[in-house]
Amino acid sequence: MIPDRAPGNRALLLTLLLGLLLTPDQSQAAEPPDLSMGGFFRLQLLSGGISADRNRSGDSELWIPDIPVTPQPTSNWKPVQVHARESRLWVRAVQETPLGQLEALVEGDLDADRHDGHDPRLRHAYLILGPLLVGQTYTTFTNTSALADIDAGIAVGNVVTRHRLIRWQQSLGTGSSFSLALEDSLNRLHFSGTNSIVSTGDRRPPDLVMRFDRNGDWGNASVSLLLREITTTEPPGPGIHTDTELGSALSFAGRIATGGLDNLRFMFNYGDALARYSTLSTFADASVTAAGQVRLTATHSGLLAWQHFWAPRWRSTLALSYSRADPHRSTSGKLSRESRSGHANLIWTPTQRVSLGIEYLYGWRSLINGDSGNLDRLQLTTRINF
Amino acid sequence: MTCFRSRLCDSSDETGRLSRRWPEQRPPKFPITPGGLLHRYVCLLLAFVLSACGSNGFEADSKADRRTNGIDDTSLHAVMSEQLALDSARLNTLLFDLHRTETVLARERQQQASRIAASARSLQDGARKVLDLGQALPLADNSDTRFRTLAAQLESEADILATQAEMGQLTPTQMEETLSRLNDTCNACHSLYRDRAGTLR
Repeated sequence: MIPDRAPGNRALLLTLLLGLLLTPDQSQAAEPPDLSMGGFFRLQLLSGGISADRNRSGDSELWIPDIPVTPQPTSNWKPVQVHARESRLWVRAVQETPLGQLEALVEGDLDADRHDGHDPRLRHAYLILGPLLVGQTYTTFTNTSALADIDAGIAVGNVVTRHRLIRWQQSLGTGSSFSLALEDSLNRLHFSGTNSIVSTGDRRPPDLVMRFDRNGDWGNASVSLLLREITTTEPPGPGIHTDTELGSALSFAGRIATGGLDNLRFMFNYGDALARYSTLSTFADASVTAAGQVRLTATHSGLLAWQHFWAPRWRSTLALSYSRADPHRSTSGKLSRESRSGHANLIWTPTQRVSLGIEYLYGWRSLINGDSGNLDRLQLTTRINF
Repeated sequence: MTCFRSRLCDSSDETGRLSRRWPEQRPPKFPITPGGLLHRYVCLLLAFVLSACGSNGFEADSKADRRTNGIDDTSLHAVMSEQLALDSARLNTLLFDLHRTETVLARERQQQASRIAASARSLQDGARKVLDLGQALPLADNSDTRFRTLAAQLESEADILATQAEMGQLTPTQMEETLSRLNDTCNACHSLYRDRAGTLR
């Protein structure tokens, strides 16, 4: 039984019900669904700066809060780290129903344990029926075609959150579309007097996202608006009431063709409800003062990435990214204020199933108290599609 | 990806590009007589069809520029296997997309397939126009027969490619194989016509 307490759970329940309702009656000997399966094996070999995390999870991927700050570790270079946690497997089913084509996708990887394990993790699980999507996938707020083609996977200015949602995408003709979505309403709060960020989840209206997309031979661009309610679900202390603030954020993103296969990708985000959606949740959505007042964190982030094809089988990406938060003065000085990353890679695809890449990554972050630090990393990546 | 090369009638452009200066580059090889005009027209037509076969990969934009400039015949100019090569390469890049999900990529593939189908149909039309020229081809003897056979083969292969794309049966591997066959046909045509054009000088 799925407890009916969060919009995301309701979304999953609705997904199951929708699937059952639209499953063709077996007595009518309906055509079986078109089933396809695929994925890739991705082996990464990394050498570079040691992360600040005690469990060394940041040694194998760019995790912004793990970029070490002053004082730096005594030995700041780790010879080699190897993992295949970003290997993925997906299964897709397409079934004709009386209401139209029903499409389902489940995708997972091995990144549940960010330390040394290779435990399976669910990335996507959703149903699509015409303009309706229900399930877990990327937030509607992000334009995934604008994300940079980098082996590190993420840049600090990315919006890459995946969670449960219900989305209606309406085509407006001539390459335009409008999306409206209700999404999981998780909050990440910093409470005065602490040095950490706490996630709180339930009994709140879902986040509301609206997005307009425009596609053409020139590429694509999108504008997204996010509205969220940020609240303390429980009184933070005796005699203190809960508090609620309504926040918003805007994102402008796209991919512009610059000749041949080359393209320029960009993503600029700003708002006081952006924090959880951007920069891998490095910043708190809000700070809760000693008096219990919710003070939203104004955040902005950006990404600029140019992809160039030296030849049809050789490509490079140069990506620059940043993010910055301006939290309330009651926020702990040990939390992050700003981060930047730079990526440069060269990827060779000797066959249509194999790619080999080398990438240099530079990461930097600073804290609210002014401390800062950086991390350099070189990584080799092999990907085999199946 | 196969790298295509094209040749103009006078084979003067080693880069494989149809330059915007093409009309000025035409040397006065053929006198301006009714026969010469016909010869020039046929030569022009063949150049477009043959150049449509050829590409160094990603020059569709310059093609589009020429089309908007109205330098070339519109129907022939739609014949763009350069566009085919570009669309094929775009199809291949989707294989290594790291961020978009399979359902999104499947739709992107469908859009690419539609573009490929349109380009292939244009190429097919161009090949048909060559076949419709009949005896006007500036070739003789068995060269004429061979040339027409190759044009028919080009028409047929373009049709297969367009049909595969329209039916959603086009995989990157199929695309590469079909483009490779098209390339072979194009090269045979180029070689034949260059040899013959050389004897006309």
